[in-house]
Amino acid sequence: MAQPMTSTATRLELEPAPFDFHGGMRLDTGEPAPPGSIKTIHMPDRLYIELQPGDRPCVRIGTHVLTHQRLTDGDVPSHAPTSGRITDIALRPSIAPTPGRVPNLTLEVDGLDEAMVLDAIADPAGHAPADLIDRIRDAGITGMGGAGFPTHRKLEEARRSGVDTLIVNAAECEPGVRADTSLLVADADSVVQGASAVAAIVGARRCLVGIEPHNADAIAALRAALAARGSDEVRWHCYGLPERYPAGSERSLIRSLTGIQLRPGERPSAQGLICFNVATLHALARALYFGEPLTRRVLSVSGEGALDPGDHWAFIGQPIREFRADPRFQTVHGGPLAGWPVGDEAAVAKTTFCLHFRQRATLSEDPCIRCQRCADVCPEPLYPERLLRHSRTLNVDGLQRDGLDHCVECGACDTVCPSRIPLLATFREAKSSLAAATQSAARAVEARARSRLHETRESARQRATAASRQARLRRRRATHDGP
Amino acid sequence: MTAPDTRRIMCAVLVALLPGVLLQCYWFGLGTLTNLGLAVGFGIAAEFLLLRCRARPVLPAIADGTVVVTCSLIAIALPPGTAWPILLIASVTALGLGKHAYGGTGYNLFNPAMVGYAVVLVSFPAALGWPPATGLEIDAATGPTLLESFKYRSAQTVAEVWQAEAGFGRFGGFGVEWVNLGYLVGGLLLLVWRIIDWRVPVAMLIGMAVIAMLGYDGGSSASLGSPVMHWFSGATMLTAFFIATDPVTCPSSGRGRLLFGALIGTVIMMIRSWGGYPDGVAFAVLLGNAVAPLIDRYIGIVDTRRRLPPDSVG
Repeated sequence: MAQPMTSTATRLELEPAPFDFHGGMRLDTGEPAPPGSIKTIHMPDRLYIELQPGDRPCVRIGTHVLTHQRLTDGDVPSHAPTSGRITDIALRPSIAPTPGRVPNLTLEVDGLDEAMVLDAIADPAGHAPADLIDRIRDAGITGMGGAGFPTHRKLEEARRSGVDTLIVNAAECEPGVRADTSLLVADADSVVQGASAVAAIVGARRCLVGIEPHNADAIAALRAALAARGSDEVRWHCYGLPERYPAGSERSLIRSLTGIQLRPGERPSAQGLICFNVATLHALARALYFGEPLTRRVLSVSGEGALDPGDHWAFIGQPIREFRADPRFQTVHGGPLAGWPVGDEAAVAKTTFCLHFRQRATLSEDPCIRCQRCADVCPEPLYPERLLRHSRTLNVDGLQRDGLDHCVECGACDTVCPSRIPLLATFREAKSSLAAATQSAARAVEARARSRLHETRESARQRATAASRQARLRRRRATHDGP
Repeated sequence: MTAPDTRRIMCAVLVALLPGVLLQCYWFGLGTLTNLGLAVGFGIAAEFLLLRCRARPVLPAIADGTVVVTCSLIAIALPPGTAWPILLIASVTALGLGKHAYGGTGYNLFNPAMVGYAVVLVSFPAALGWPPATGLEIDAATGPTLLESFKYRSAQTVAEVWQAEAGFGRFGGFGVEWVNLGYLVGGLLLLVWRIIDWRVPVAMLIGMAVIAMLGYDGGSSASLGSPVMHWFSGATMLTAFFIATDPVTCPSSGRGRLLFGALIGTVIMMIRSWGGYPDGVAFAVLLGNAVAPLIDRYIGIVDTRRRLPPDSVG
């Protein structure tokens, strides 16, 4: 289908991925929508910037901030999407799958958009990798495909363990999501620049791009950008991924492109790989070449209840209810398959690639009949039906034996379940209660160790006191009994 | 891709039963239909009462169609025109002892239909001989069945058994071979519709064939009968495609299902050849159900590990 194309700088061909991943399923998404231009949403009156654990605000209530001004210190700083005044620091519902309340900064927008002077660089070649990583951290870049892992930590880890392959995830995570495709069509140059910068930082010699073969305009944009870029040592290969969900999940992508099956919990860097999605690379390029911190992102808005379906440039901190037509619809953060319902008060985060508005489920679930349709589609591949039993009884051994930690939370099992069982939600719950149990067990061990240490110290001190008293007595006796 | 829900799966199973049921009516009379009506009626009533006793929502559990399938399988397995008390006992034990005692749909260890069938089979052996005493007017169908003749043939060779009863068909018992063919067609439909897994029926039929081949010496008096004869006799095809494939009571891993099917096929052949009953699908299936968790426990773990391939760098 795709003609191999030769350019002066690089040869880019769209051949099918050399390997395949287990399970998955074809989804009938109908005619793919043409990638429209990315819409710009109006600036809201207030933005709500979520604080991560460990973040310390570096502004006070009442502080006037400029666009791109840093708001928090911490592992990954946050920045002001526009100028305005900080009016509150309060607990608000989190956007995470486990419901809870987290501190948020409230930024009241003044509408002036007064910007700071940004510090950009022209060519990463003149900078030490450590300097570039510092710039990326200062711009607050995190993974934008879902997990939100801090990008500077990923790069540092890759530099430590040695990486020779950069994998660019240009596949959409979920059917109906077109954010990455639209971004590629709009600005493939920045994505390629970002990828080149990453390759330079970690020393990667080849770059594998995984893309869905039907996204012809994104492929064309990517080709044009690759042809236009300067020459370097990196060899680029573009592959068409299998058209099954979840081809765009990191582990399936790595399996399709390299044949490597990561062990549970194993990072790609352990296999000499580093993986970025196009949104992250775009943000990274903007941070390096324009000095722009991460304050906005492209997200897809979909579903029956969407006010304006399509791809939008949204500000980090924008209330998600502004994308919804009607409060009767349920808001799902992430795609329709792997997303989770969030409350009305939540705001767009750096990881929000899609907001899906759907009708609330009306049918209740039926009992599991162990039909194993879930096992047929699981990409990992697990037996979700067994995990469900273990999750409901919180059978820790069973969960471990049947590999709950392998679950990539793609939600394929939910889609095929004839009994409408919310498998993914159950697994997420089980994971978080297991994590809580492990944490409290670790705390107990730590407390015991501390108390043992305290006892040892205490008894040593008592022994020392007793010994010195004895010695004093002996000395005194010796002087009295002396000649 | 939208998932079929449980009700659609059960409807598909009922539709797939149709060819076999129609052929059964043709050869053995309309008693099968009265069986069906009575068993399903008793079953729904029993399910209603049991759900009420357990304080569970009644309507969704009855509407999902599992009761209809369970009771239909009992009705088909029992001889046409079985007395209504037997049908009542079979339906009530199937749902009460076989299903609700374990916690309802999806939690049962044993196939409910086979629990009900086995209970009446050991309780009323005389009343449940195939073909039915009330069988309609087809003379040939009122003699002993092929499997019975085979079991109690003393020292006859295969060919002699065949000649002794003029009514036997080309492969198996007269009529029964057609009924089996009907269920085979229905089973293939279920495979095409992706309702059932191919592994259980294939493994079961191969398991039966292997034992039959081992004991088949060309037709002497000690011979077990050819694989094809066994495939098209008794309740073989019904068991292979409609009973053993019940996902609730069979192992979850692919290789576990192969083992499970082969085990059932082997046990059926052992009962037919050396056991006390002419046919033994119910006992074979129940035995298979009993070891399914064990298979899951051991084969399943190996299988989970095996499905995660070792590192391979491309």
